[in-house]
Amino acid sequence: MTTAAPTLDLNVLYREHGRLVLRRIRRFYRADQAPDILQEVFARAVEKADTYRGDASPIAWLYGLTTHHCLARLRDEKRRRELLDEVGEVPWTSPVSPSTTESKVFLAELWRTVDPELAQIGVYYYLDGMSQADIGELLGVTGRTVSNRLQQLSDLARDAAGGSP
Amino acid sequence: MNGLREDGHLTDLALEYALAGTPLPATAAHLDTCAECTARLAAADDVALPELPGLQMPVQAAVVADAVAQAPEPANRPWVWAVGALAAAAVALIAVPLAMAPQDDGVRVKGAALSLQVYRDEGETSPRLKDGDLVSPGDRLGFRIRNRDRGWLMVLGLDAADDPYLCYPQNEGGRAVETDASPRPRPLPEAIRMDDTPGTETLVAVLCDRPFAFEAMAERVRADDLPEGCAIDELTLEKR
Repeated sequence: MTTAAPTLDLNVLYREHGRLVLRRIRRFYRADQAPDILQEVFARAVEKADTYRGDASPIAWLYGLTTHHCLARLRDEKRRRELLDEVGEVPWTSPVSPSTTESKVFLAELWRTVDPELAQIGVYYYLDGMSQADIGELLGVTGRTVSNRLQQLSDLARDAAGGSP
Repeated sequence: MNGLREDGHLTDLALEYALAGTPLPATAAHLDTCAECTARLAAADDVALPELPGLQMPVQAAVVADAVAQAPEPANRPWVWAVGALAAAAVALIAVPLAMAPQDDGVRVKGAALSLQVYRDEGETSPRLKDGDLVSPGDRLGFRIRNRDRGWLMVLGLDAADDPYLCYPQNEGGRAVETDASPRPRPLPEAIRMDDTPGTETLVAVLCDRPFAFEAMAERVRADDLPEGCAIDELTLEKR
């Protein structure tokens, strides 16, 4: 991992990692919507600068910050939509397979109804295909915590799908 | 952090570490052998960073160097537009002889076999278009290509009715042109102009290890059935 400066320099952050943020935004929003949200995320980065560990790479921090911002923004939209219904696949991602009932239920509706942390875990797991250990490392929680939260999500998804195991 | 999904490919986050030049240890070996992930890497590297209002010059300078082809003088623009259009049913095509040196925009080929970049001529500048961007009737579009291997190259388009039209080369009788490998984007000496029919326009670059013709390849592209030994890259625009 790279070593970052102990304090955040917005110019440097944008120059070096702006495209990371843009790519992450494009996972949730169309290309024409992304530039505005890019500005929002960097404004958010300034607000949340105290959560950045100065001795760590900003990559994971920005990735998490962007994911959280996009989910919060989507949740606030008045119009109901599935998580990816207007975006589809972007060229630098590849589908996580196979699509399970749980993942379909989560991406269709469940993501909107659960608490933000659980929604974020669901996105990392069902959409990004990250391992539980990696999710835990990204969020700063134990793998066991992630496992428990995913079980909770799985139960909710089964209930939403009609209760079949 | 491991950075690998259950199917063995890189997570999007791991891809970001690799793009930053600091691949996660567990992903380095995979990147050496996986064409899919190296293609993802190259596609991700193609994303252009817009200017962020409120930030100062260092950001703007980075933006220009990274993604946008701009030049102060017309003679140095990525392409020179010919006067007069050759009207066609779907798109008016303009063949343009070029006299220019390739510009270094700092993009490197990281494994993708073929990359198509599309630019819109706006007089003094030629901003690069992204997937889903809007274009207007009369817009003049130029192309840059980078290709890992030598081969036969063609750029074609599919209009809103899925009818194909040839963008490049215009003067080879509908046959692909033989081209050397180009690790950096190089401009093509011909451009197209959008007609006034609204709808989706898909621009497709095709590079094959053998000669091919427009009609046959257009059918294969429309059928999403690319012949073996061919690579493809495409960009979809919305014309209003």
